[in-house]
Amino acid sequence: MTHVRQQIRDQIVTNLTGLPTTGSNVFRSRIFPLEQTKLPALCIFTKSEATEFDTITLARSVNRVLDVAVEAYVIGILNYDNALDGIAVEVEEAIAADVTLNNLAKDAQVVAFEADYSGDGEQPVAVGRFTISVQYRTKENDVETAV
Amino acid sequence: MAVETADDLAVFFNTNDFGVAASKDRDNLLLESGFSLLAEDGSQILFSDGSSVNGIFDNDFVEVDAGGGVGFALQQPRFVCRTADVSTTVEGDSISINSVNYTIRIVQDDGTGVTTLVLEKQL
Repeated sequence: MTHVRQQIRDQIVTNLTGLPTTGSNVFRSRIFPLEQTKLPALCIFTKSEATEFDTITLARSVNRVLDVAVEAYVIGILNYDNALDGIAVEVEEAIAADVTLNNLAKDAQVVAFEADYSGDGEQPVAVGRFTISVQYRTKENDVETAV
Repeated sequence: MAVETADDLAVFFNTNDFGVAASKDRDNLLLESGFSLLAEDGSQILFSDGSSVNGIFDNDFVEVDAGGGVGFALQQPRFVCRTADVSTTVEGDSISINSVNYTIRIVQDDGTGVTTLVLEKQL
């Protein structure tokens, strides 16, 4: 078994793979730059998590709120902003279609979106960053099983 | 005022060394600037006085950071030439280098008689 956080990350990758625009260009925790042949793409990162004990008796239950960053990468001479919003339709609806992430989480919500642009390359590029807040619970002595 | 004259600078963009010839779009640049088009030879277009626009074309791969967790690995086309050769060039003009069409996005006159054209590759 693996940490539930890893299971959640993997489930989000699964749920977002095969969307009409980004297809199989879905990368988990990628660190290397994306070349043009891999665009448009989604990159998925789990960067922060807040935990809180919500029972007293050992072994305690841990309520966790995980922030998952889903980043959309596009390139184009025109309408790169619209391309991001087209991907947003697909990503947000895919998340909404499985808010429990195959029963790993209590809830998953897209809580923020921001976009950035650059013209430093041969064509304009844009990045759209979705923040998905995932609430899940584990026991403190068994973080491989969602409760 | 530039230290070197345009003639002095020409040696830096000689096509026998590292320079390449670039053609400028005949509709929105050449005609508006008062030149007439005489001939086209591959990627090279000659002006009415027989001259062509020579310059250094750089198209290196760079990592473009647009604010995401990872960057984009893209080429970054730049054309460096004499300011005198592109004195009427403005953003939005078209240029062809090595049979690839680009739109000029930024004209960077460095004040020494040399101008860098920031290019956007067209489909």
